[in-house]
Amino acid sequence: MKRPETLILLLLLISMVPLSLSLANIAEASGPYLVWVRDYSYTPLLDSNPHGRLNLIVSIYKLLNDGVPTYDWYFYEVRIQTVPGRVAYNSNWETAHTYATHCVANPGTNRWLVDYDPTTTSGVTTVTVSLTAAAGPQGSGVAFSVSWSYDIPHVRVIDRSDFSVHRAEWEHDFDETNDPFPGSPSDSTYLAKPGFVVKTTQNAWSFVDGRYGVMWGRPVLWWWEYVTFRSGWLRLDALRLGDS
Amino acid sequence: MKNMTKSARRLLSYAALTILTATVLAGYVVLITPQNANEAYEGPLRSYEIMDIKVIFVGERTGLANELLKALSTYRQIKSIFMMTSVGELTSMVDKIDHSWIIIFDSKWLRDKVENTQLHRFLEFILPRETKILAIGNSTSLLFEVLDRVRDVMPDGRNPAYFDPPAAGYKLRVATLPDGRKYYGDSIYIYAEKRNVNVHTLIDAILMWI
Repeated sequence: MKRPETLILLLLLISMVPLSLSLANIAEASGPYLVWVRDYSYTPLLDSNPHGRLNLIVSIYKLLNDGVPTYDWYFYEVRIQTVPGRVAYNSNWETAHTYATHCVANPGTNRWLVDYDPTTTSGVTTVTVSLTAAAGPQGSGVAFSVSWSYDIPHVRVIDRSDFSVHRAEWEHDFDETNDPFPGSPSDSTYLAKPGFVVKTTQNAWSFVDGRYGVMWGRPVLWWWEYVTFRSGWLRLDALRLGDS
Repeated sequence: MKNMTKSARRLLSYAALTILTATVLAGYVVLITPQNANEAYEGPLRSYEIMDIKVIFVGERTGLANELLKALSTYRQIKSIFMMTSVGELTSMVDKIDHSWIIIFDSKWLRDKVENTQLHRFLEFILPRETKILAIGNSTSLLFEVLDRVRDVMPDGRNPAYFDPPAAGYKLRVATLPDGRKYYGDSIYIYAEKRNVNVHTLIDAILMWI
């Protein structure tokens, strides 16, 4: 008589294991998550009448609850807004190219560029930016990713990044001479949202130098005239101590 | 006309005079109003909400500061502007200052205040209340030199306003963790364009930033 009772008790205990595991998962606050650390607003970064305006907002987030006591990950969302002369100054200047360069400062020992997006595009109208807390050249990674998308109709993204020098760099090439008018990205306000990830040793600053440029163009008889403006190097650093 | 009575003629001449006066007045309104409207610029009518912002200006009212203050006084979002020249005057206001205040420093005034502990204590009090601080002029990098004595805003040699832009600002912003706990993040504002400082563009940008 004792054997069936023991068996029933054992079965009851086994049936409770999945329940206790799921409760433990809830208690662990569901894994890593991003928190906002710092914003840089450069509005305007470049402004020239009658050519146009370039605005920049960089939002930096840190990965918390990542379970890695030796490294941190900083996620950068870069919002580059071009407001061509047609919108800002009622002139006939349009956006032809934008340039965005980000270099991890003092890289290689305490900080590394470990991911970026988008890469070069061809013939698409939307691009998805997907960033991960990758391992990079040193230490471990974390199974975490975040993504967003932005439209690129009549715009081509040219990726000029280089992991070996910790550089995330994009050119957005507008089709100003052929795209429909009005309402295409070259003759109206346009927002590009690339992003990248810097891994640092635990509690080290993320140092990033950023530089941006824009080429505006306008039709003159049967040709186009162009002017280019570039910003100086901007400091886009961030630090949040602790891991939770 | 010959057959008209004297009173009818008088009535007609009154009517003609009234029409003439109305025409002249209408012409005046059409020709003059655009210039007046420009002088009494009411601030942008775009997306940001109308709020009562109080401004403290600290320093000398010259150059860009003078232009900015003149323009600010015409914005309907700005409730009042207080002019100050000393740290003592600032600290006397500390209990009144909250998130709806902007403190604008003439960057020249900051030159000999980087190590001023009274100013540091003042900033320690007001920043957690989400008060916005802004420096304008030729030495705006000094704002972050002062802030660095109060909070860990930058590592050595990495001043975000190192190139002395025409305006640089800072505020703490409250954010919420997934578990509901509150924390502060930093928000840094830079008006980077040195070749073309338009005070209305600057004010619009500040109002968007705050």
